Amino acid sequence: MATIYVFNEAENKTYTVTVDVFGTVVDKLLALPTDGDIDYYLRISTTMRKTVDNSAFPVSIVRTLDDVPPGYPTATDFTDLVENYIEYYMDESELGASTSSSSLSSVSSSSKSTSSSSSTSMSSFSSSSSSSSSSSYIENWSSSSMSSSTSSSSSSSSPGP
Amino acid sequence: MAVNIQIYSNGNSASKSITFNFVEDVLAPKDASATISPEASYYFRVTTSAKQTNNVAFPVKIVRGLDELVLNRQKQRIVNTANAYSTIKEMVVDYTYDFINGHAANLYGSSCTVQRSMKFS
Repeated sequence: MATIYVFNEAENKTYTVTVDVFGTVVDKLLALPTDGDIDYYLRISTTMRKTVDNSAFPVSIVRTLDDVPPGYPTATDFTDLVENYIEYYMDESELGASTSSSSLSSVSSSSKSTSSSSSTSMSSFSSSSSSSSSSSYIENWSSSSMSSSTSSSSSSSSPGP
Repeated sequence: MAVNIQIYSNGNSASKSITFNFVEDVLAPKDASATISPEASYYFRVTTSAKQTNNVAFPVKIVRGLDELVLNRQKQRIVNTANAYSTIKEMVVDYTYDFINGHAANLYGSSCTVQRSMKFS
């Protein structure tokens, strides 16, 4: 399991992005009937919340390098994939933007370029990894959760690199 | 959490396991003279405590992308193509197959070294 820590300096708060591998029988509630095969996939989740409605991000199920955040191209490898998810979560949470807007109000109505340049440097992330064993189990997975994550992309102002 | 795949040998009444874990590290190259990138990589780490039939331990396998095919990253088993795996499941199944069955040297002209099959006795 890989755990990435995202520290927001303005809030003095640390968020996490967790990437883990699972091997389970996946029940596709709204898609095809479950075929009983064990599927192997990555599950990506975060403690960050969307700025637009303060809701949690849906857990993302990654089976291929095409299972990328909304608006992103196919990943070239797993590093590219995880980095894009981190970027997407930070973008949707507006971690950088929230810090820049607070500095704007205290400074006065200074230029936009000042606020936008400071927004990207306010958050930093580090990561760690660990391992443990797991056994297979049956997991309910609704494809509606995937569609909801897709719809959230419309609120992103600049999702792609 | 990681995925443990159990392999049972009916003939030997013995079980072995292969572990697929997803981790993040700064990877050092095999070649000591090569430049080390300080950037972290996210990848699958495939390990097993089982031995090959010649009692040699299996090397740890690192999979950074679905184009890193088993057999020296060049050829898939059976189907002699250079196509990348389409899913993580396909990659896991293929690496498991390779651990259990081993492969010959230079299979499909891939320049890979020989790997013995898994020892259960």
